[in-house]
Amino acid sequence: MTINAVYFQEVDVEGFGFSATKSLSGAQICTMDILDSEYEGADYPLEMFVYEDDPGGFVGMSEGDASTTITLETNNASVPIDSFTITSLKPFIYVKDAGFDDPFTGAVTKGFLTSSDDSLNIKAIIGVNLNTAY
Amino acid sequence: MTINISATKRLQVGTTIVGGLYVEVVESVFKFTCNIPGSADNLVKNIQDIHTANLKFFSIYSSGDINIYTNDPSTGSPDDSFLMKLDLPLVWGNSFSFESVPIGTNITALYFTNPSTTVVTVKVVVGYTA
Repeated sequence: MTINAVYFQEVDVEGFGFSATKSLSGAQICTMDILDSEYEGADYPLEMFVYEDDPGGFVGMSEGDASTTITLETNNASVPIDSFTITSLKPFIYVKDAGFDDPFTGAVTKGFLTSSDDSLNIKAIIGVNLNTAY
Repeated sequence: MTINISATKRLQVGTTIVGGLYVEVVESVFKFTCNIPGSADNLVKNIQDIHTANLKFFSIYSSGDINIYTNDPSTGSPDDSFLMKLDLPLVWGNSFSFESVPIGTNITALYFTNPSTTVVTVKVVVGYTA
């Protein structure tokens, strides 16, 4: 299934700046908006991505409370390949070709979420292989 | 004196939104625009130093695809490279970005390579604390 996303960025300082809107499409996408999540202290499996080595696509993760965290781990909950700890103050947004290096060190087959607080509102947007449908 | 840099980073699918509007409070700002002619090959622009120390905000926008190398051309040993794409600016703020500082070495010169035959406009905004 393919779902379309929009990535909007804007900067303004003293009237100087820019804005840009990029339409994205991805296959194997996961979109979640979970209110009062129940994943405190437990690995919640997200059967979400099936990356090949090409790390195309986009990822967005955040939660609704600055004082607590969610952790995204890849491939194996016990021995993850990558681990990202996320707060709402600094949401994890990766879009291919948007200037930052790919944060994943290798192929990704699964993701696991762990919440430090079960009252969080978690948001997740996952799309892979930009503009390529499996 | 403080200066507010407003920055929005928002990824949206339907009603699900990650990110939003952020304000980076800095004490000095360095900003410029330059137009890079079509087919430019490692065109150099010497700039006021961009220091990694006290860096709180860094962004690059380009109106088209363009490759930017720092301190040395692509044929040499640039310290950092940014392969910019249309509508995908790089926006980094110390208070709101998950990523670490996107430049590893102070910048004194930028080298631009424009793969297209049309002019590309580049805008850079840098913010520091004292």
